[in-house]
Amino acid sequence: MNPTENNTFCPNEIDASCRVPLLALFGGAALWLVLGLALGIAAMLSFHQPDLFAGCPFLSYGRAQAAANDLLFYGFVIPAALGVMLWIFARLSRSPLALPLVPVAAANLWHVGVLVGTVSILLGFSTGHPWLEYPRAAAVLLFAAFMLVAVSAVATMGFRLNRELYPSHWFLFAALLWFVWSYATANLFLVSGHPPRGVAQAVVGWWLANNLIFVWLALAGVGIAFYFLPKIAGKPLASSGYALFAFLTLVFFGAWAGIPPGAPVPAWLPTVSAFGALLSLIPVIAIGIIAKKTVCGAKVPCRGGPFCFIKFGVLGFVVSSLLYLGEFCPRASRVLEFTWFQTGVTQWQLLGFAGMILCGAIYEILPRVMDRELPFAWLVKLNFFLFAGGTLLFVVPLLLGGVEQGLKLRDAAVPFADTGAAALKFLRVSTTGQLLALLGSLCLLLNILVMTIQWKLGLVKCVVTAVTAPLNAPEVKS
Amino acid sequence: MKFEQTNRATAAALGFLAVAGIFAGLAVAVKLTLNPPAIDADRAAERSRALAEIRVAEEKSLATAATLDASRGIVRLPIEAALKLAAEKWRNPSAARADLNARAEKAAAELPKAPEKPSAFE
Repeated sequence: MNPTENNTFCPNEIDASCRVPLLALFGGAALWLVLGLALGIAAMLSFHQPDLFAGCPFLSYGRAQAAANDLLFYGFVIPAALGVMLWIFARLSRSPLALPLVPVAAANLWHVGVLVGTVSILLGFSTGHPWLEYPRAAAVLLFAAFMLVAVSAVATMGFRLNRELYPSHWFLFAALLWFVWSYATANLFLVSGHPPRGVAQAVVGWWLANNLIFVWLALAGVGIAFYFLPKIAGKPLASSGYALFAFLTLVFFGAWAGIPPGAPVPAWLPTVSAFGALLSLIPVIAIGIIAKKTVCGAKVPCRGGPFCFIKFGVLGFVVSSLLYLGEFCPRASRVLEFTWFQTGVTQWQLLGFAGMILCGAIYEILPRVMDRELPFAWLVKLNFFLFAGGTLLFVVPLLLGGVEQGLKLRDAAVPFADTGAAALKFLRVSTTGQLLALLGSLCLLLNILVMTIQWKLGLVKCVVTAVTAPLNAPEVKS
Repeated sequence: MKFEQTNRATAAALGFLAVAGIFAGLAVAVKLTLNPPAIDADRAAERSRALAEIRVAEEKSLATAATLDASRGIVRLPIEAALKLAAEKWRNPSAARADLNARAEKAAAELPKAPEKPSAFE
């Protein structure tokens, strides 16, 4: 840390302080994204050729799909979001990252946790609870790593020179607390000791899924978007008042949703949940309005760069949230429950919303943090079109297939086997979309990988130059 | 200024840890408060109760003396006393065997019929 005379730091110093932690977080995240999408494709292949992995139990649908989902969420979304949060907190605080070694250790701990968890699922040691499949050892590693990164992020936030808090601060700080609360509580109830009996386990599971996939993703993704949209568009955020309203309503109402209307639980639970989902439409619409007002009129070309990623991500948030909240409408739920529709919505939230915003943020941050251009800048545009097109091609057929499947399930004259077969043609298109998204994610991995190698080679070159440099005459002992 | 900033950063980090600790404490408290009994708790309790009743009955029959059948003169002795008595008597096996047969016959002998109740119509 080298404070200048007026005790402020220049952006280059701030970016340099984030370099190693962010490389550790982003590099692992990009790798897990590629592996997660590849495992997802392997899982979907079971529907195209059921006997393809018949002799390979760890690639059976139940294991591969759970591992793929967890890799996308715990492997890609969370570490990438944590990296972006660290940088945003440092930039908004106008000070270097506090405790920079802590997030480096935490990033490695996190990736080890993801590795342990994924291998456990593939070997058949999953806990069986959706979004909480990682066994206790992996969960402890993830929780400890998250706490370490959060401590560094919060200390950086406390270090800020300007005492004012921006909308990004509210959303991202809440995201830090929200994950700690949800993940620890759900693990404590479901994975450790004696779990609650019967349907209470499912209720805790639904609560966790809603808190992670809807509330946490919204807090982290929207917080990041609210930082980058005004920054790239060159305009202030449309209204801080609106943002505060959206934040408070999201936090108050978002956590009430999650229990499906058809759940075999006391009727008040799905009723309250449906009402919470209805009220959660308010922040979703408010966030859409804020983003539109901020972006409209911006004279920034959008040619597949970070701005496009983030705009697409915000649009993805609004659409996927409306679809997600629509699932809690009892009339819609009667058709859509137990169909591919839910899978489609979840993948849209993970890839179309969080994935797009995080990719855009990484492409925006990396050149600044590394103080050099991306090695393959042209791949950014290709990444955008592959990832955006692939995501749409992946999720839209799942949504349509889910509706058709649901309508056939409601028709007593249609045999049950025909309802599953009805979705097959949609699954074929969907797998093509997955493949495109995988190719897009390879562009991100390639850029980060080559950039990391270049940086490490530069470090080695510096060390070699320093070691082999001739000594000045006064330094040589006679 | 830098010192003040560092203090604020430390306070923020400690505050975050404290809040996380409060969350964890609340979750642990709820878990401990609402810890449900095991799914077979009722059956386990019933089996434990039955076992305890058996143990009490065994203890009573082994350690106490009582009259079992007054009409035939059958009594129950405490196990310690019975063992001593048996050991004493079986020093002379033929006499003990004869006594055992006699007592067995006495125990199996038919009881005299109880006098009939007088009829109210006679």
